[in-house]
Amino acid sequence: MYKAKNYKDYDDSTLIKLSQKGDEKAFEEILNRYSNRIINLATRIMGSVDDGWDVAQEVFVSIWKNIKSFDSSKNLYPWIRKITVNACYEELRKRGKGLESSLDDVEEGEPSIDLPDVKYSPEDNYSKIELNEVIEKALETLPEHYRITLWLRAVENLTYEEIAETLNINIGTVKSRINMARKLMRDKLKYYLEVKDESS
Amino acid sequence: MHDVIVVGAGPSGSSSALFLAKRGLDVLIIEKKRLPRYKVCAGGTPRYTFELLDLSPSYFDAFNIEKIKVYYRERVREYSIPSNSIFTVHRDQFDYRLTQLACHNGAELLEGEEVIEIEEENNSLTIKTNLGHKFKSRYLIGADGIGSKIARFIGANFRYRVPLAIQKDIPYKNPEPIISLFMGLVPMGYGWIFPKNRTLSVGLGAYAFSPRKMPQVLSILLKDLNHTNIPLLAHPIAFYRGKRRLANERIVLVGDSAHITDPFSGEGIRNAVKSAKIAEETILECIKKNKPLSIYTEKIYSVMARELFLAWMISGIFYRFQDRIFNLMDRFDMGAILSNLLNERTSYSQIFKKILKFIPFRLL
Ligand SMILES: Cc1cc2nc3c(=O)[nH]c(=O)nc-3n(C[C@H](O)[C@H](O)[C@H](O)COP(=O)(O)OP(=O)(O)OC[C@H]3O[C@@H](n4cnc5c(N)ncnc54)[C@H](O)[C@@H]3O)c2cc1C
Repeated sequence: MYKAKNYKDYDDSTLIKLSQKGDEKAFEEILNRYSNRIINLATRIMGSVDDGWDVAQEVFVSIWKNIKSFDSSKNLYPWIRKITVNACYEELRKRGKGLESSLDDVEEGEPSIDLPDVKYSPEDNYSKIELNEVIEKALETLPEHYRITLWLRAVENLTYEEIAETLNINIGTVKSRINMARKLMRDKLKYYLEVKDESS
Repeated sequence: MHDVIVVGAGPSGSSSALFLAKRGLDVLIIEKKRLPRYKVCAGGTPRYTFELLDLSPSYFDAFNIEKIKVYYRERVREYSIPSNSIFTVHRDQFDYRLTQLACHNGAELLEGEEVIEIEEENNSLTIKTNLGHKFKSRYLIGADGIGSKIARFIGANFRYRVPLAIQKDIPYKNPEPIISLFMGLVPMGYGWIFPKNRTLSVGLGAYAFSPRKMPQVLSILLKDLNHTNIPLLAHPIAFYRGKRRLANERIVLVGDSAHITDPFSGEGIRNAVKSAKIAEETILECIKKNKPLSIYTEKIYSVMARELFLAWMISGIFYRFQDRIFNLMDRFDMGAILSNLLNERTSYSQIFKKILKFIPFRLL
C-alpha cells in the first residue's frame, strides 16, 4: 500500500534507493532538491542562462538514466556535479569552443584577493544567488576554464582537490587557473574596487 | 491619485484591471496602442481560463476545438478533445472585450500613450507618458509584455534569449475545429495550425533555430493555402526560465512581463490571467494590512514555479526525442491528456512521472 509519507522527509540515500527501484516520485524529489544548483552551475559554465537551462535538461535525463549504477552510500551532489560539468564540457566541445587555451600554463599570480562575498542558497535563486550585475558580467567574459574553476572554488566551495577531481586536471593547474581567474576578475573590477575603497 | 495604474491592456493587464475594478478600486489602464489592437498569437485558451475570468467562452466568440492531429513527417495521429474544454480566441477581440468590461466596472482607459518613466516616492508612484502626461498612483501593475519596461525598472533581470515564434493569420471561411501540431520539422520546436472563427493561424516556434530559416520551414505548412498577401509576423515567447524578482514594495509584474509562459504548451494567456488573480489578492491584502507588495513574488512562484519547471523538463524531452515521443503517443489519449493539463486537472508532475517510465526509451 501507498504510505502517505512525504518524500521531502527522506534523506538522499533513501531517495536514491527508491529511484533505483524506479520510484519516479523519489526522483522528482531529488530534482526538487538539486535542480537550482544544477541549473546555476550549468549556467555558470556555459556562460548564459539559456545554455545553462538547456544543458541542465540533459543532465536530469542523464541522472535518471544512470542512477541505477550509483552507490547510494556516497554523497549524491558531487556525482551530480560531475555529470553536470561533463555535460557542459561535452556541449561546449560540440560547439567547437576550444576549452584549452594558451593562458593555461600561466605562472602563479600575485597574492590573490577573494571574490566579493557571493552567497549561494539552493532554495532561492532569484535574489540571493543573483550576483551583483557587475561581477556577473565580468565573470561571463572570463575564458571558460577560468570561469568554471573560479566558480567551483568561490561559490560551490570546493577544495582544490575536489576541483581537480571534478575537472580531471591536476592540482597545480587548478591553482594556477584560480590565481589567473582572480587576477583577471580584479582587472575587470578595478574601477569598482577602487571606488569602493575610497568610500570605505 | 489612482489606487492602481496598469501598464498594458493585453490579457494580463485587462484582467488585472477587471478584477481590481470589480473590487471597487480606482484603476487606470495605460495602453500604448489603440484598441482593439492585433497581437500575434495562436489564441489557444482552455475553459479554465474563462472560469478564472468568470466569463463564458461565448462572451468572446471563442471557437470550440473538437480534435487534435499530431503529425510526424508523413505520419499522423488523431485524438478527440473533450467537448467544451479547449477554445481559440482572436486576441484583438479577446483583449478588447476584457478591457471594455474593466471600464464598465469603473476602470479608466488611456490608449495610444506609452509609459516611459516611473518615479518612486515615499508613498506613491508617478508615471510619465510619451505625450508628457503624468499620473500618480499608489500601486503599479506591469502588464507590458515581453521586454517590459516595468520589469527592467524593478530589476527583474530577464537576461536571456527567448525563443521566437512566427505566424500567419489567414482568412478562412469555415475552418474545421481541429488543431494540427507538426513535430519533426525543426530540432527544438514545432509547427501548428490553429483554427479560429474565419481564420487559420499557421505558425512555427523554435528554440535555437535560425530565425532566418524559419519562414522556409513554415512554407511547408502553408503550401495548400492562399497566403501570398498575408504578412508574416514574428514575436518572442516569454517562456519561464527560473525565478526572478517579480515585485517591489509598490509594483508587481503580470503575464509575459513576468516570463511565466508555459514552456510545454506555449500558452501565456492562462498564466497571464492567473497572475492577474494573484496580483488582485496581493494588492487587496497589502492595502488592508498596509504591507509592501514584495510578497507577490513568493506567491506567484509558490503556485507556478514547480509546474513551470516540470513543464520545461517535459518540453525538453519532447523536443529532443520527437520521433520516439511520437511513437509512444499511440499508447495515450493525447486529447484527454492535453485537455486535462490545460484545464489543470492533471499536473505536470503526474505527466513527468509517466514519461520517466519510458526513459531511456527501452520499450521502443
Ligand atoms: C506566435 C505565438 C503564438 C502564441 N500562442 C498562444 C496560445 O495559443 N495560447 C496562449 O495562451 N498563449 C499563446 N502565446 C502567448 C501569448 O500571446 C502571450 O503570453 C500573451 O499575449 C501575454 O499577455 P500579456 O498581457 O502579458 O502581454 P501582451 O499581450 O503582449 O500585452 C502587452 C501590452 O502592453 C502594451 N505595452 C507595452 N509596453 C507599453 C508601455 N510602455 N506603455 C503602455 N503600454 C505598453 C502593448 O502594446 C500590449 O498591448 C503565443 C505567443 C506567440 C508569439
